[in-house]
Formats: sequence, structure tokens, C-alpha cells
Amino acid sequence: MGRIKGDAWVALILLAACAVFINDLQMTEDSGAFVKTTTLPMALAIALGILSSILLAWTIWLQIRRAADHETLPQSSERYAHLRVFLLVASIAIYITALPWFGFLISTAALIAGAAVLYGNRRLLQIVGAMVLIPVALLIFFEQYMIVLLPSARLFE
Amino acid sequence: MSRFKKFLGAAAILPVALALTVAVAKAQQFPSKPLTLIVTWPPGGSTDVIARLLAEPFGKELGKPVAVVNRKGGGGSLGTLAALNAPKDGHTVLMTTSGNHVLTPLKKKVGYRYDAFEPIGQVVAATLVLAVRADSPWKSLADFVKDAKANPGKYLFGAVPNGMPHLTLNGLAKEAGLKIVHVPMQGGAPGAKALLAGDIQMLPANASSAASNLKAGKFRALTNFNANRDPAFPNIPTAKEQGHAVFGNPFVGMAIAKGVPQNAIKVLRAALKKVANSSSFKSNAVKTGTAITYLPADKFGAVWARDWKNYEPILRKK
Amino acid sequence: MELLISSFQQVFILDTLALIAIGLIVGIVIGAIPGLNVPLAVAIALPITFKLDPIGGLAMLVGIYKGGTYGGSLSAVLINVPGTPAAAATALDGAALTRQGKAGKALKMSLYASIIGEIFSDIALIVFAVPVAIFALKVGPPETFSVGIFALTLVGVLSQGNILKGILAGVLGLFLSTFGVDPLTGDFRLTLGFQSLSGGWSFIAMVIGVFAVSEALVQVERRTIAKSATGPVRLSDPNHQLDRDDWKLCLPVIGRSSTIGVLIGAVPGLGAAVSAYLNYGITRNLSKRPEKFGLGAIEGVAAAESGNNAVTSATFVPLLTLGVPGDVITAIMLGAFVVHGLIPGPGLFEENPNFIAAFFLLMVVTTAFHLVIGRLGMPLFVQATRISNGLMFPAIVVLSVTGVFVATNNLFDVYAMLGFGVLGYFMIKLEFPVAPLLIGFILGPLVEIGLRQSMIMSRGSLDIFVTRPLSAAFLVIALLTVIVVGRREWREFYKKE
Repeated sequence: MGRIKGDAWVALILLAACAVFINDLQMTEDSGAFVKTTTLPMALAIALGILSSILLAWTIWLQIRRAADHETLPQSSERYAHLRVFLLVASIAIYITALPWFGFLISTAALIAGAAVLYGNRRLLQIVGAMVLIPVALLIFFEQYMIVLLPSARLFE
Repeated sequence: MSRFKKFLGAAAILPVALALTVAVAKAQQFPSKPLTLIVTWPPGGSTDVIARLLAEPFGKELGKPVAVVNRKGGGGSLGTLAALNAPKDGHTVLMTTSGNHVLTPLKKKVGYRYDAFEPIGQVVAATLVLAVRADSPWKSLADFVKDAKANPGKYLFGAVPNGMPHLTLNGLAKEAGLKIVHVPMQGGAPGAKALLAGDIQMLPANASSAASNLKAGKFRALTNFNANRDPAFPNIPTAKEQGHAVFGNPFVGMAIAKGVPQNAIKVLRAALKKVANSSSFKSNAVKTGTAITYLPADKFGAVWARDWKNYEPILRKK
Repeated sequence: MELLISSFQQVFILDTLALIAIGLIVGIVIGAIPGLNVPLAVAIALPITFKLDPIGGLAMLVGIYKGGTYGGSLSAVLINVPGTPAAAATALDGAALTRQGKAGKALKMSLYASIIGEIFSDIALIVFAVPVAIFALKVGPPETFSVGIFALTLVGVLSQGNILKGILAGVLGLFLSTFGVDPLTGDFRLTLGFQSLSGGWSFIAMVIGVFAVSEALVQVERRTIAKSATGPVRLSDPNHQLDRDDWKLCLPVIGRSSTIGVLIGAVPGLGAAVSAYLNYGITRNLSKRPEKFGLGAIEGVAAAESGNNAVTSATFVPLLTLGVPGDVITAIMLGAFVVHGLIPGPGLFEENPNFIAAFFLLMVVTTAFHLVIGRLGMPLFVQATRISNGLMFPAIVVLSVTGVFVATNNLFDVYAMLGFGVLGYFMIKLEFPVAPLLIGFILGPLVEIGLRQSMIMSRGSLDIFVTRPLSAAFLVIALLTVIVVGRREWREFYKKE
């Protein structure tokens, strides 16, 4: 049941996105011979719209047919599970934003600590070890051997 | 819990201490940290190869390593903007080419003009040739012009859209009153393949990317678009010699955003001058099929202005 | 004869051999680590090779290339996160085998299939370079379009049972590939006002997001701390052994996949990932037990790995004979050739026979070393299944972010990676097949460029696609595939209802 609902949401989101894209494409300057700049993207966006509509219709039809089925999902563990996913995504987003401000070493260490907790890792020694070793190892590897600058470079301004 | 706190404290202090130490140790001298050389084209391409050849001796001259960074996209505009928006401390240098510096900003709004940058120096002024397959009936530019005039719309050429080769050949077509059809290509290499396969009949290209096929006798170059014959290819006449005064020379050089302190720019200019004129760098470059034509900053800036003026009416009109 | 001697002299010196080994090891490590990608490693190693002699420098680069293409399979099998896009198809069955406690089988088959694929590739390069090059020349814009269309029919094959969702994913992938710049005119399109999108979506952000980050999200939800193996894993265990039945299944598959892989490698623009998926799909279609695929079918691993490694040496064919690089990595290596004054193209063979002979020998020796190093390292690699998720995945997350940043130098692309990770997560949860998304994205530019260039060449007529024999052939195969898959799906659908 949950899965069917998920499909419907996807179809709706895609349809909305298609509307945005098609609108954007209409406004784009066109050039090129025979097949223009916007021809293929427009065709694809329309195809996407059509397929999403089919998916939506299909999903609704299935839902009507299977309205009799009830699926009970264990509530509590599932809710925390979804929360963990959300937290991990949020942590990564914060990490990326923090990189230019706090530098590579500190941000990475923080992320490792946070992520480890989310994954249920309780071994303190392991976590702290990783918090120190991984960022340092990566920094040395990239800056010294590959001479590629990581965001920590900004920290040293 | 306190042991944990101690651990955490130690682990957290370490990187912070490291950061502070380095910050304090930073000297006022330029350069004070590794430099970034931005290449606006994908790795492995001709600009990228020159940049990487340049990076090491350049870094040695400056005393700090130079990291080559590829930022392709938007016809070279993404990388150019990155160089423009970098902190103006002189440590972010742009490897700039006609494509990203002049042609792309003329063609569309990218947020910069050629004069948003200070020139450091030109490194390469490439030779453009018009190549045809060895079994083509055209033996000279005159043959080609005659045939193309008699058959408008019949002949195909391949070129990266709005790059120097494309615009230069268009210039020739306009000047001689020809109608030829442009097949957009992704680069010099696919163009060469298409010419070999016979999918196109002409290929305007960098002499260096056509060099291998020219030497092997698979291609013939009808003309080049320089003011004078290229010493590496003395048998190729210029277009001017053959009666068509059409010129096109894509450049590759170094630039930096305006607003960088003058002393830093001076140091960069001097370093580039030294490296670009060194025999080891020059011979390495020749091995890659590219001859080094160094121009100091002021002359390089003049090239920008000249190209901007020349190509503005062509590209802006589109 | 003297060619042989001189090439032996150039390759069998300690320096060169050491460089091959170093390159292989570095390549395998970088390939295995999700987040670090091989083209970057090659680009960075490039300047180092400028200082070495030509064969030495290329030895290292070839080592990185071959090692990297294989290395991705290690993480694909062991943690279900492909280290390189080419290994994505390997993860499908490889990870399943690991879950069943048979990681050794998957690793061994992956290595052996890779090696055999490479041998085919080396032979194609050395013996058949010229005919293969002639074939590659014949693949012009119309053929590129038709091959792209055929490869797209794969989408149908790989989304067994979920054909609507599979096609949806494929179309989405195609659509996403059009963002940024029109590859033919250079005009911006679909940038939605974002400056950072004017380069299009970053491929590496998509791959790492959709495979590594999404897997990390799936795992954090499940929170299985349990490791696949407790205690040292011994490869001599019967579970980790390859038996005769396995080989009987896999050998013909490897033969076929390697041949197809070689041809794909010779055509510029397709690449190892397409080869892996294509061969996986074909093998599944032709298999007597298609329902086992995705659940630990060893021949799936064999097909994908021999397919992707068969591409490696073959991509040198268009490079050496025509001067046209076959993929991103050979494009970078072009720089290495050029810096030493070796301009790839028809002239190379005539002017530098010594170099060419030594280069061929180098390829073969690298393959041999690859086998040895891979087999020796295996007992070590397989222990990775003992690392708990709680340590592994935080590390993977960090590596993903770092890897994408190092490759793109752009925080926007790192955010995009995260976005793709979320997208991949939802796709997995809602049973949308992920492979078509990737395939659509890779093939999009190919199909579009092929279509538009062909139309210009034919002055607007669609005939060109059928009047050119090779192009027509591919279109026919594509049509057949659609019919076969369509019939099968219809039958399944009818059975269910």
C-alpha cells in the first residue's frame, strides 16, 4: 500500500517538474539546423510527462483494485528509520556547507562522528580513531601527492 | 565520560592547532601558498597539455607548487568565472584561450568581458590550416574556391561551433562568396575522424591536431590562416598569398582577474616570461606539436582587444 | 625480430616493471574506493609521467587504467557500491553473492573474467588494430545514433518486470543529459537560471550519488551493524571456490562479452560502463535461467567484468591508428603520448615501430601483472567484508564528498551528488531500476549528436539511417530487441492478471 502511494507521488512530482521544464524550454532561444536545440529535450520532457501520467493512472487503478488489502507496518522502528535517513541527508548537506568555513579537517571529523552514531556504531575508540585518521590521511594524500587543493585551503587564508 | 571528553578534546584540538600554526606562519610574501591554474577545457586536450607542461617549471620559478584544475563547461565560461570570482590574492591564475576569453562572451551573456582580466602573457598562437583528404581533387585553395563557388551548399566542413576554426572558415567563405555547410563537431579529434571517413570534405583545424595525419600523408593542407608561413610546415601557403586575406590565430595564454595586487601580477609576469622562453619548455611543447609564441602582457592584451573588435560584428549579429 | 628484442629491452627493465606494478596497485586502490575516480587519477599522474621515458610513463598510466577498471568491481562485490561506473553492472549479482557468503567466488570470477577480457582486448589491439580501426572509421554519425538507440533498448532488458518504471528512469536519464549546453551549438539550455548548471549535471556526481550515497542512505535506514563475515575469511573455503559448473556457465559468456566489449571499446564515445551493462543485459536475455540474475548469478558477474575490461586495450585502437581517443581516459593519455613527441595517428606506426612494439608488449605484460597482483591481493580484499557498516559507511560518505569535490572543484556538484543520492534512495525504495537512469544519461549526448549531425549531412532526410548498412543493421537489432522484450513483458503481465 505504501509503495503504491509512493509511486503516485513520484508521478505527480515528475509531472510538475515536466511543466517547469517545458516552460523553460519554450523560452529558450532556438538554433541549429533541422533538429534544433530544444527539439530533443522537449520531446523527452513530453515523453516524461506522458509516462508519468501513465504511471499515475496505473497506480490509481491498482489502488482501487487492491483497496481491500490492508498492510500494517510496524510503526515505531519504521519511523526512526526514516528519521535516520533524513538526519544523514541533513548532516551531509551541513557538512558540504561547512567545508569552506570550518575547513576539511574539522568538518570531516564532525561528519564521521555524526554518521557513525546514525549507523549505530557504539565503539568510541573506533569512532575517534576514524575522526582523526581519515581526514588527515585524505588531506595528506590529496595535497601532498596529488597536489589537489581541498577546501581546507580556505582555512589557511 | 570524562575520558571520552578528553579524547574528543584532544582529537578536536589537533586540527585546530594545525590550522593556527600554518596561519601564523603565513608570510606576507607572494606567493604564500600553492597556486591554482584553471583550465577551462577537459583534461587531455591541447590547452590542458600545455597547462600541465607549464605548471611544473612555472611553480618552480615561483617557489610554490601549481595545481592544474579543469573546470569545463559553458564554452569555457564556467572556468573563467571561477577564476574571476576567486579571492583576489593572486593565487588563482587562468589558462585562457580565444574560445573562452573572446568568442564565448561575445556569443552570449556569460557575465564577463575580455577586459575583466589582466594579461600575464601569451604562450601559444596556433596555426590554423584547412585540411582535406589526400585523395581530394582540390590541390590548392584556388581549386577549392572554384569548386565551392560552382556548387553552393554541396560541401560539408566540420568544426567546433563558434570556435576560431569555424569562424575563420566562415570568414573565408564570406570573402570568397561561397556557400558551405557546417557540421558541428565536438573537437579536433572527431573532426579528423570524420574527414578520414569522408563524412565531411574539409576540416579547418589547429595545425597541431592535424599534424599526425598531415605527416602521414592522409591529409593535405590547402592553406593556413597566418600572416606568414609556419616554419614547422613550410609547404603550406598562407591564405593571403593565395589571394584571400583571411586570418585566424587562436591564442593560449595566462590571465588573472583584475583587482589582484600589482606586485603579485609583476611576479607572475616575470615568471611566465622566463618559463615560456626557456628552451626546455619550448622543446617539450614542440614535441606536443605546438610551437611557443610568447607575447608579453601588454601585447597579449592588445591581441584580446583586436580579436574582440574583429569578431564582435560576426558573433553579436547572430 | 629485432623489433621483438628492442621491445623486450624497453619493457623488461626493473624501472618499467616497477612502474607497471605501481600503476596497477594505485589503479586498483583508486578504482576500489568509491568517490575516487580513475580519469582523475590518470590526469594527475600525467605530469609525473612527463619526466619519465615514454614507455615508463605509459606503463604507469596503463597500469592505473587497467587496474582502475578492475578495481571498481572490488567494492561493487564487497559492499554493493561500485567504485567506478563500469562496475555498476557487477554489483547487481556480485553483491548478492557476497550476501550469500560467497564473496570469494564473485571476486575470483570478476578477476578472471577481467583478465580474459583484457587478453581479448590486447589481441585486438596488436593483431587486429588495422581492421578494427577501419570498422571504427565506418562508425560515423548515423551509426553512432543507431548504436545509441540499440543500447537504449537495453533499458527494457534491464528493467524486467518493471518496464514502465524502467523506461521512465531511462527517459529521465536521457532528459537530464540534455541539461546545460547544447552539444552542437554551444547554446545554454535548461540551466533554469543557475550558472552552475551551465555545464550540465556532473556525471561523476550522478554516479557517486546514485550508487554510493543512495546505498549509504539505504543502509542507515536498515541499520544492519551485522557484518557479512565474522572471523578471517579463507578463500580456500568451498563457498569461495569456483567449481566446474561455474566455469561451464561462464566461459562462453566471457568469450561473447569480451568480443562485444572489444568492439564497443573501438568505437569512440561508448565506454566501459555501456559495455558492462550491454553484456550483462545480453547475457541475461540469452540465459537459460534469467530469473536468477540479480540474485547471485555468477555469469552476470562474468559478463559485466569481461565486458568492461575488454574495452581497455581496445580504446587504444582508434587512438593509435586514427589519433582519436576512445574515451575520457585515453583522451588524457593522448597528452602523455604527445608530450613525448609521439603524435598518435597513422604516422605513429610507421615512424616509431620500436615504440609501438614496446607498447604492445607493455599491454600484455600489464595484463599478466594484473592477474598476479589481483590474485595475491584477494585474500586481503575479501577481509573487507569484516568491516562493520558503522565504520564503512561514514567513511564512504566522506570519500564520496571528497571525491566529487576533487573531480569537479565545485560545491554545487557536491550538492548535486547529494541530490542524486536522495533520488537513488527513493528509486531503490520504490523499485525503480537505477541502471536505465545511468544508461540514459551516458547515451543521451551520443544519440543527440549522432542524430543532429546525420541530419545535417543528409540535408534533413531520415534516409541516411537506413541507407548506410551498418546503421541499418543496428536499428534492425534494436527493433528485434524491443519486440523480444515486449513479447516477454506482455506474457508476464498476462500471467499475473
